Amino acid sequence: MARFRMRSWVLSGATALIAAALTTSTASAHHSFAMFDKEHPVQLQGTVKTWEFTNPHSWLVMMVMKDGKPVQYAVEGASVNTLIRQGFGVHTFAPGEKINIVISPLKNGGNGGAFVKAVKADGTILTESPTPN
Amino acid sequence: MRVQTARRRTASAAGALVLAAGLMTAGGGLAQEAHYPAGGPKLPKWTDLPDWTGIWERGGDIVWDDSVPFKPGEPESPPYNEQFMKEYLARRAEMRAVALEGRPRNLRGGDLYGSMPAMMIALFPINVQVNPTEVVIMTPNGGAREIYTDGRGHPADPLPSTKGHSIGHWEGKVLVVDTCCIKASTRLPGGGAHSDAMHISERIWSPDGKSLKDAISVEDPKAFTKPWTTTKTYYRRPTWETVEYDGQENSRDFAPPGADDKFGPPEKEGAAGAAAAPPPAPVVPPKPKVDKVGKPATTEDLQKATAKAVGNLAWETVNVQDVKREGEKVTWIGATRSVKWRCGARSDGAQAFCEQ
Repeated sequence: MARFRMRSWVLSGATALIAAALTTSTASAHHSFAMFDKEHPVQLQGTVKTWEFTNPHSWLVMMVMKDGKPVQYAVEGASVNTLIRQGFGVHTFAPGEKINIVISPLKNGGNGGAFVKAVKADGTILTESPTPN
Repeated sequence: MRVQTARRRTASAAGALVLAAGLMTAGGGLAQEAHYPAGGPKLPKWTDLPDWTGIWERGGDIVWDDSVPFKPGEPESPPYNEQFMKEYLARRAEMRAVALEGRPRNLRGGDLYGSMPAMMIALFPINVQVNPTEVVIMTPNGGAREIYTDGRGHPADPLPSTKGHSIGHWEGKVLVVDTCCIKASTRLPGGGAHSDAMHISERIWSPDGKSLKDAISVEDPKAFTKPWTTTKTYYRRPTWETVEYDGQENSRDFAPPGADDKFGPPEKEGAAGAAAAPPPAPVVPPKPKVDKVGKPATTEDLQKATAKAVGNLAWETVNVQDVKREGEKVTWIGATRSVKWRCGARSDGAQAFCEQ
């Protein structure tokens, strides 16, 4: 499936995005989000393999077609405490479900990134600004 | 050799002696017991206590001092002396290198914010309970902090802990707290170290019944050149329930570069199929969603949208600026005291997204 670079889906104009650690205390003591490329979000289309609504991070693992072969992507989200107040839950994504997601990809080129947005097949949009705690 | 009987002196005596033999329980080990300079507990009256009971959400960013503008990549550090600052900068450089290399990270994200003073940043909502003996502040990620208000003193032979030993007294409806004895291995907001001499003073009060404030002063004569101070604010959430945090429940992490596509912990015992097996079809088809666009977002809607997009941030503290409405979209700046979030959403405030 095509992988394309896109600017922020909401903010129009030429506003440059600041690539940086996302918070102060969290960045150095918990772990740094410098590993994700926030400036160049990537859209992926695929099928949910597992949705782990857990701590310290939630994980959406999905199969994405790359050169005709399914490739596993691991997308990291925020903690349960944060996501639950933003409408996420245990059953938000089901295995086998088709979704489009937007991630801040891993800078090292690995198959993964930080969760930004998901659009489910029924049109539901779930967002998480890339400052998880 | 003289066998000494167990005796305890009160805290007012210099160099109080607490002998291990006297405090040994039948099973061995020291018992942490309260001791009272006045000879016994002295409790305030229930009716004199303010009502702080319930869940409170953080009203600031995940920073020590909300009045200091946030600089991406630059955590706040205490007013360290030269030696501690050198060690702090070296440690930060090391952690940044680990992150950029994609090496396994420390995923125990809640731990820092389970120790004092970092727990008062309230990474997750806190639960406050007040009774005459103590004020208890519970966090989902680190357990409870107890502030004894029954007149007891600090232990003569302290057992250092992650939250320290807190004693407080009421001045009207203001709780004045003194905390000592925090384990030297805990980290401060920003990730820096402290010494075993660290001491924390607080004044906690509710200006209006809806918010709670904690004016904190951290002193560390071995590590700081002056006190490290801040005032934190929390907002009452009467309908919220505690959401548990188990930081050990999922150790999944990204594989280091060059590894194959197998991520995370091994499959649990009994799990059907390997990672390459095709996923099963969903049992329940998704419900069709009817998502009508609502009325144009008000300022309060945008405050709430900002807080939701950022996560665990009280909407009351968001200052909405520079609102631009363009047809289906609205963009704005959601400014908290230390961060200016650049936000956008649908015209009714739904699907909000914010960046720094």
